[in-house]
Amino acid sequence: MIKKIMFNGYLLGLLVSILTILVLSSSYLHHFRVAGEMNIGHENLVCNECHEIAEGSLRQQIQANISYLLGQRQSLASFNFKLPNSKDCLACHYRENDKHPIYRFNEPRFSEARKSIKAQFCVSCHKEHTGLRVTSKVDNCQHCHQDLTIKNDPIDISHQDLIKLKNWSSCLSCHDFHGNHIMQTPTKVKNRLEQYKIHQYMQGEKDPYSDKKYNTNKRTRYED
Amino acid sequence: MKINHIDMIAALVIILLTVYFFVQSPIPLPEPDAINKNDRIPVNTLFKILAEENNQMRTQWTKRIVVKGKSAGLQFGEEWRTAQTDQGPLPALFLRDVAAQLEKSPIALSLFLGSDFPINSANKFTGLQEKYFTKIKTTQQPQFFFDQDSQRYTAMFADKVVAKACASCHNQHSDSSKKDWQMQDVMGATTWSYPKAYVSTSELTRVVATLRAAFKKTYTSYLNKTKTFQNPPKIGTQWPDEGYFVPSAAVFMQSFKQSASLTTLEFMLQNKNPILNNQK
Repeated sequence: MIKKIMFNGYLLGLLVSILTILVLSSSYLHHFRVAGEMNIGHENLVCNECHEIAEGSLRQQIQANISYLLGQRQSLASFNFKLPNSKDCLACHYRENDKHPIYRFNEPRFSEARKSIKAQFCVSCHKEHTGLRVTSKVDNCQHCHQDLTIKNDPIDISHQDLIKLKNWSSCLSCHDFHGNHIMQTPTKVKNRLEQYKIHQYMQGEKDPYSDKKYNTNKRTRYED
Repeated sequence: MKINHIDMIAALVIILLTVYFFVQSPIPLPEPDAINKNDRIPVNTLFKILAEENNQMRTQWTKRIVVKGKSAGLQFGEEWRTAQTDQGPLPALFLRDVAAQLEKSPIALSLFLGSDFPINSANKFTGLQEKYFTKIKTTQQPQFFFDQDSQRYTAMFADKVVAKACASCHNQHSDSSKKDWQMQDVMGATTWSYPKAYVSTSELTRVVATLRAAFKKTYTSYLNKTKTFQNPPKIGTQWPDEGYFVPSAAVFMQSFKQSASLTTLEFMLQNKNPILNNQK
């Protein structure tokens, strides 16, 4: 009797596992496995825009990973899709004029920024599947610009005074982080953008900086 | 020992799976950049080759395009990305664009530029880089270290003043914190980083090819900018020392390859490469 119950239990477990794999691997049911709402601008992207399809068949991938566990291979192989990284973001978002390209934060001297805000990764500020545009705080500038000195500072309240006041949340009211907006940087602090507009923009609402941009993103990574 | 049915089924499943995955196996997945004991090149050798390629390119860009180009009427400046300017990139900005192109590529190679007296204060060395740059200035030798924080193998190479124009431009710049640069002074350093201690020959070749592709893309970007000039220079086989011309990307890269390839090959052969040692 106990053996029969055990057998039925194993059988049921096997059937549930197979059914789960079938449901999750079906392209018609992909919304079941999406981690959350796509970020602003990514609404129409399909999975493999960021999650590139892994090399080989499922059988080859299992074989490679078992080989790794047995010490016959030096690295693990991806299952089904590759793990996305910042290079996948750059496939569409690379800009020659980027004021803060993420690669620069891999330089040894930016260790503070790496420790504090993981500035070397796109997703540290733009976490995907959140339905937002920016997911970081507005005061990130403090991690690199504490010693900022500007000769002939053009603004009416100097940058150094703003830094002394630790007014780090004001930076984005005059500067857009990646420098892609075609805009006139204000020289009077009173002409800066209101902070609630910056917050709204980060949440996904209207762009307060400018309608004009130097570069437009590619609609798909597969576009030339 | 009594064997029950469940154990038998489990054993059978394992045997079938083993046969399915390994006996009747598919072609194994190729392993990207696997290191073979007989084909291990220290990453420092890779760094030396890259630094030499970079030196050749920097010299070509500075002497043959910027210096001669200025005499021919071409302009170069810090605002070269701005649409309204008829400018090309100064040497440091050219290499900065190369660095950005590298980051876009699939390989994990990074290039950074810095100094102890930079024009832009954001490029001033601090921490480990400051420490090793001091050694470079004293010894004139490249420095190699493992950066624990970024978990990357790192190398720093001296950037020397290679043309009088470099010294005079930096000496005259209003934001320059040092005004007495002279020929052969160490103005700064290039920092290279890579995540692996060893590379295979094919990986080394691919990294060098990626750097060259980054050079070509950056130069092509400059050529595209020249097409927007009010008076665009003619693009073709001629160089600025012949007049108001710029070489095509193919001509530019061909000249670079002629000057760099022999040195790169020599470097690969001179270094204690296990491939060569095993053939002795």
